[in-house]
Amino acid sequence: MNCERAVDLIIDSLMDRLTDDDEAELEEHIRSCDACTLRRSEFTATWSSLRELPQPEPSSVAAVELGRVLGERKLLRRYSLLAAAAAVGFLLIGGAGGYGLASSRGGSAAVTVEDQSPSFLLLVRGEPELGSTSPEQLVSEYFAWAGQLASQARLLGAEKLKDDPGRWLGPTGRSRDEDLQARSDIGGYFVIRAANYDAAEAIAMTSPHIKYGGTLEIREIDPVTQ
Amino acid sequence: MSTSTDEELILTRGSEAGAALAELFARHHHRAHSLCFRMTGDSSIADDLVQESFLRVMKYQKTFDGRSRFTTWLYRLVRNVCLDHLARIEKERQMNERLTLEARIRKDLSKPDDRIELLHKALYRLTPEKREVIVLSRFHGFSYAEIAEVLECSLSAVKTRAHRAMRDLHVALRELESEV
Repeated sequence: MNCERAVDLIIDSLMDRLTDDDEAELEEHIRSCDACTLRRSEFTATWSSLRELPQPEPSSVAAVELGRVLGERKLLRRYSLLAAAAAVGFLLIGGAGGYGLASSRGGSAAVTVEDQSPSFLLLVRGEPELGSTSPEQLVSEYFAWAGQLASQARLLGAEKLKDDPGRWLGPTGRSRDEDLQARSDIGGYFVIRAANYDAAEAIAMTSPHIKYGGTLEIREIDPVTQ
Repeated sequence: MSTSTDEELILTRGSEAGAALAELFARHHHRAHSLCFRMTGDSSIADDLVQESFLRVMKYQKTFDGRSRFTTWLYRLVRNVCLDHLARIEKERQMNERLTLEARIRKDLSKPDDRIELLHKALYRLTPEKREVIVLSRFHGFSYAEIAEVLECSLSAVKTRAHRAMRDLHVALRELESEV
C-alpha cells in the first residue's frame, strides 16, 4: 500500500467504516510509516475539532415568519398553527413583546378540533432554571413542544402575562397587600385538550417548563352554557 | 408527538395535511437549520433557507413517492436550496468583493479559540460540493451510502469527493495557520 491509498483509508475510517481487510492493511502500513502515523493523528484531530464548531439554534422569529408567509399564501389555514406554536415558545420567555400574539389570537390560528375532549388550563408558575441552557435553546424547546401540541390539534391557546404584580381586588376595592401580590408567580398559560386529567398531566410533564424546574398548575375547564 | 412515521405524514392528504406538515416541521427544522448553517456559515441566512425549504416541502409534497425515506428526500431538497443560495452568493461576490462570506461567518462565532476559528474558515474555503460531504458525514452522521442517496450519485463518487474534501480541508487549514 502506498501513502496515497493509506490517506484515503484514514479518511474512510473517519467518515465511514473500513472493511476488516482494509483496516488490517492500513494498520500494517501505519506501523511502518511515520509520515502516515502523523497524518492519521492530524486528520483525526481535525475530524474531532469539527464537532466543536459553534452550532446556533434556529430563530423562533424566523419560524413565526414562516407561519406568516404560509398564512399569506393562503395555502392551508392550518399551517398558521406553526405561527401559533412559535408564538407560544417565543412569548413564554418574554423576549418578544407582542410579537406573534396576533397569530395566536387571530381566527386563522384557531385549532379546528372537532372532538369534544375536555379542555385544561395549564398555569405556568415559577421561573425556569436555565443553568447552562441558553435562552435560545429554551425557546427552541418551547417551540418544538408547542408545535407538537399544535400539530395534534391539542393546543387551544397560550399567552404570556406581563411581568408585573397585576391587581388584586376585593369588596373594598383594590388590595394593597404586598404579601398577597408577591405570591403571584403565574407567568402565562396554555389551554390544551386532553381526554382526562391523567392525559393532561402526561402532556404537561413533557413541557420544557417542567424540565427546567418550573411548576404547572392544571385545572380542568368547566364549560358554562346558558 | 404523533406516532405516525415521517413517510406517513408527508403522504397525508386532505384536511389533515396541514397538521402533518406542522409535525414534520417540528421534527426536522432543527436538523434542516443545522445543515443550512453548515453550508452557509450564517445562522440568520440558515433561518431563511429553512423557510424556503419547508415552503418547497409543501410545494413538492405530492412528488414524494415513498421510494426513499422522508429524511433523504428532505436533505436533498434542503441541499438544493443551499446550493441555489450559494450560487446567488457567488454571483454577488463577483460583483462586489467587499461582500465576503467570512465577514458573516465571523458574526456567528462567539469567541472560539484560534484553531476552531481557523477550522471554521477552512471549511468555508472548500467548494460547496466538497463541504456538503463533510457536513453530512460529520454533523448529520450520514454514511457514504446515505450521502450517495442524498446527492444522487454513486458510492465511488462520494468516496472520491470525501477524500478530496478532507485533503483540501487540511491544505486550507495549513494555509490559514501560516497566515496567522
